[in-house]
Amino acid sequence: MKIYGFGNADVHNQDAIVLNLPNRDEKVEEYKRHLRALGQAGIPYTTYAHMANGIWSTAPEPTRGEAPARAFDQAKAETGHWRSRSYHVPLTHGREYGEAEVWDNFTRFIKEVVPVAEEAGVLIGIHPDDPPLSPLGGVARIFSTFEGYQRALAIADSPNVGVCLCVGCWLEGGDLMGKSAVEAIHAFGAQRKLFKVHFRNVDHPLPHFVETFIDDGYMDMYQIMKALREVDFRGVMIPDHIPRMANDHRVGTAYTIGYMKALLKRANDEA
Amino acid sequence: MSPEPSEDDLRFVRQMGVEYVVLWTDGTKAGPDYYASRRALSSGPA
Repeated sequence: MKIYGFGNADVHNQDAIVLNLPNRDEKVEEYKRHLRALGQAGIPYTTYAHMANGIWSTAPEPTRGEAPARAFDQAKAETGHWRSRSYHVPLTHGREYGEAEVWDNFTRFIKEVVPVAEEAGVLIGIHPDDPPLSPLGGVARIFSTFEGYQRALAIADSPNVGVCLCVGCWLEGGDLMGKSAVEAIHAFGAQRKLFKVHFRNVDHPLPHFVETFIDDGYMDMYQIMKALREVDFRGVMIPDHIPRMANDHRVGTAYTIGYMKALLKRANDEA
Repeated sequence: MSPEPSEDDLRFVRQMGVEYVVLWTDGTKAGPDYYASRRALSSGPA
């Protein structure tokens, strides 16, 4: 068993970086140290997310068998969370931050860290906004569409910057993403930009979704696995946000991994 | 998987046939020595 990637939650989803707050330079230097440390340890990958006010959810809702699951209902959304911090409507950071400002801050950030990632030999996979809805709490989000990703990858202009494709987020967005999850896999795969995949499912796209067991959402996950096989995906797939099964986190993990392995076998057999 | 798994955690992951893992930490532990120590742990004997 090998470590493909290591994340550092203190340099991920950082409002200082996304909004150019006073401790922004300090956070960027911390991110560079993270990249160099990964390179020194021989770990090839890390995930980055560019959300200023965290991951937004509403009260958990039941999925199959009354299992409690993460949910988001746009009509009731009031709070985002990242680690111990909470962010509340109407304005999470005191004023509105538009797309142009968030793009400027991303551009400055990625231009600074790309040379370090390249020198360290570390891949950065950018995770979609969760949920992929902009703005939230008055702050624009720029990784909520396929077009946003294309723009970001062009700005980064580096073989070390690619996509952490959270299929769950992509399904949350639905038509708003501009390409379906399968189309996105083909497009990013052809560009050799798919670094990591989060394999999960939801019951509906926005404005209201509940996360589901892997076989119980609106997506036929075989189509995802088949598309990954078709683009000769060479990164890592992980199960993600598994609803609690049998009141033991290992049960749902084993169920999901087993399902993924069966889909992979079928995709390989049918290729 | 926790970056500091128990022997039982490691066995569980190996029993599922997992080949690669992705771990998370925070700024209190991030650094080359910690990352290297986790790498050694995950590649230890089954």
